[in-house]
Amino acid sequence: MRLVSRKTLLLFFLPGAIFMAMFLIYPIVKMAMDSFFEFDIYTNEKLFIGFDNYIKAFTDESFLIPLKNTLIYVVVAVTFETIIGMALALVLVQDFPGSKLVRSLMLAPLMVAPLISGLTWRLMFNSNFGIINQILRNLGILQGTDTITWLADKKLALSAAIVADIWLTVPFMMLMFLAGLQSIDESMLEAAKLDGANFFQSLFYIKFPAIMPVILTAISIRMIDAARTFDIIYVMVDEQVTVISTVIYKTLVRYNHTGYASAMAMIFILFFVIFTLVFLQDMWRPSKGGK
Amino acid sequence: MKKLLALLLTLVLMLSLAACGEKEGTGSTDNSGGDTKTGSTDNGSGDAKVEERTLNILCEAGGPGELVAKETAAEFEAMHPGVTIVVDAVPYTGIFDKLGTEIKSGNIVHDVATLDVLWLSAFKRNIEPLNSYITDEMTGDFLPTMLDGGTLDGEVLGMPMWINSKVLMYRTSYFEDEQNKADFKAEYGYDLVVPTTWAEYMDVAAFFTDADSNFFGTAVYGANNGDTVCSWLDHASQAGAGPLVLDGDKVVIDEQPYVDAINFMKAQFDAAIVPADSLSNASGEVINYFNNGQLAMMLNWSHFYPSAKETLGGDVGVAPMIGGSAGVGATTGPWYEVVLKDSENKELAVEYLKFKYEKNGDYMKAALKIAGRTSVYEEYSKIEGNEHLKAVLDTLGSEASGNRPNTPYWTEIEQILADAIHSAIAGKVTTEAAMADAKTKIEAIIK
Repeated sequence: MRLVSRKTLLLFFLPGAIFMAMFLIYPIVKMAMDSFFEFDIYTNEKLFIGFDNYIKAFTDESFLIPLKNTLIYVVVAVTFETIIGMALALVLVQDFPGSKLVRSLMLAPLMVAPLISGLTWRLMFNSNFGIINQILRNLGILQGTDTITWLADKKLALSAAIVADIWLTVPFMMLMFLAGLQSIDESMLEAAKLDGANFFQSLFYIKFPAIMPVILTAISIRMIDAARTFDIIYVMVDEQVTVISTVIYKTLVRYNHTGYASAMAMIFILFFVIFTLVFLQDMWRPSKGGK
Repeated sequence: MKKLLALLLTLVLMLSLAACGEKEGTGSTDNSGGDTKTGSTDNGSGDAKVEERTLNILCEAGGPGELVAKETAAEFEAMHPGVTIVVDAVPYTGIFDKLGTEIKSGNIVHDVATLDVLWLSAFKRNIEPLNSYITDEMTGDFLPTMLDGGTLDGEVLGMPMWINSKVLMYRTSYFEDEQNKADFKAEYGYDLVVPTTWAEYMDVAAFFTDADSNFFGTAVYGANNGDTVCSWLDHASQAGAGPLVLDGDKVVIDEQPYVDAINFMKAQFDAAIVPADSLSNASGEVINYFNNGQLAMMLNWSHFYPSAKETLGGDVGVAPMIGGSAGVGATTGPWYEVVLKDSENKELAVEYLKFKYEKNGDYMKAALKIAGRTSVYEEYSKIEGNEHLKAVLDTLGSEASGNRPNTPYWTEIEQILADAIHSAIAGKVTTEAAMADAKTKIEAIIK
């Protein structure tokens, strides 16, 4: 006998279903349909053009360059965030005087909005009065404060945005890894120590395998987050660097190419769906040993 | 029976709620939406009834548009009982984005919008033509290029707010210094004067540059954005370009005046008579350099003059834009107030535009100290501290001065041009190659 009837269950489900249908399913279906059309810039009248928008996306630099930038951004930023986050977590997992205070202070960037972070880093990277070049000059690395124009060069601008992203997100990675490290059974580490394992052996053979699900979860969340980054790029280096999210926004809102923007967004969504299905589903399957 | 009772109760409840809603709506003013309120309210005397309406104005946050709209709101409301002015101020690009989204969604919230000339063609179909509302006397007082910029296919789309152009600003003490005068004459063979031509401009900038002291003759716009494109078009018009960028459906940016314009900008960068970080500089950065006392001259928007003069203790002079082979020329930057075609308060919105036209002098009191009417410019140019107005009038009066092309694709074209100019000045590609590549891309857009 059911405790809750099917009808009641459906009623509970209904508000969520209506919300999802209105604000998720319908927009995606509409976007998928729009992606097969070209819209007149004056009248907004539609002309069916089949897969032309998709073909353009995969052959035109207006999509391929942002795609390349996005991939570089994701790979470089997440790699550094993982390494730095892990290093900090390994330090802060130790109990030392003031460790709790340091942990709290390290979380400060998490409380800053990405938009504000981007604006702040834009000022810091300013070649005329920014503090970054000033420090580099004081260290004797640069001859003058305007020797490197971070935000005026496409490659340097992407690097600058990655630095801002790393600063903003390392605390999140650190927090995740710290939680994982604190959950390791101390007896395992003590046993390893008694067996003569050194720091690295303990790290690679006990700690990392033990917190691998946490590491993979953190990396996957960050990869998705970095791939859809908008704020930092938009306010900091939009003049030099476009990533997929900013190019979709500009193509739709600024350039009024609704069909092409929809096609790019569909590709973007499909990529995320595939990534989620393959990576996250596999990772979170409890039947797989250790994962 | 129970079902019938439940149905009746539900019906009664719905009717009660509907009645309550109607009562609450009477006389209310919705500041978040754009709908005309259908209710009426007592005007205070107890007998006469006035219709309550809200006029939503979209403008740039922090700009003179917002300032003047807010300052004049009470007066307009007093003239039109029942009307409430709601000023919706958003950042510069937010205006285009917000209005564009509003139009696409078909849900027109705003009645009046303040628009940069660059956006008129993109919103042309959604803007109410003003031809039947404005007189020849009014258009006769529009500043040069203002009527042209605001007219598309014979339809006057906007009422002028203000117009601006870049002018030459310089440090007077450097030009008046006797030692400088003697040294300059000895080095260049002619008197040190405020430059009027490209050649003089280059000589004077080189003469004043002292890179070791972080002091430069002038600044060049190299940032990858619209400011750089505008500066390039200033020089292209001085070199004889026109119409700018597009001649009908033909893209003309590979013609000699456009190439000369980039080469002129690149020459300043290569000669190191401008700050080393010029590739990231636009008008905001340039005025910072100038106000910091690091530049002898600059070509910048005229509205920076009053603040620069104040910051530098009065040691600032202003002159019309420099000239090339075709004489003085500049790309103008007019702003307009427009009425949205689908506004439910169209007549009232037109009244508001006429009211603001009469109040055009208020823009002179606002932060930028520029306006859109010749009579206002002439009146205020007589006041000390407004010397930039005469320089603007002279620059606008030049035949070579004009607007950027009226095309709905301008935002996209501008980005391509900014990329090309930036790359050419940086020396990553030749000027000719940059222009050829940009031309191909622009042709693909307008095809």
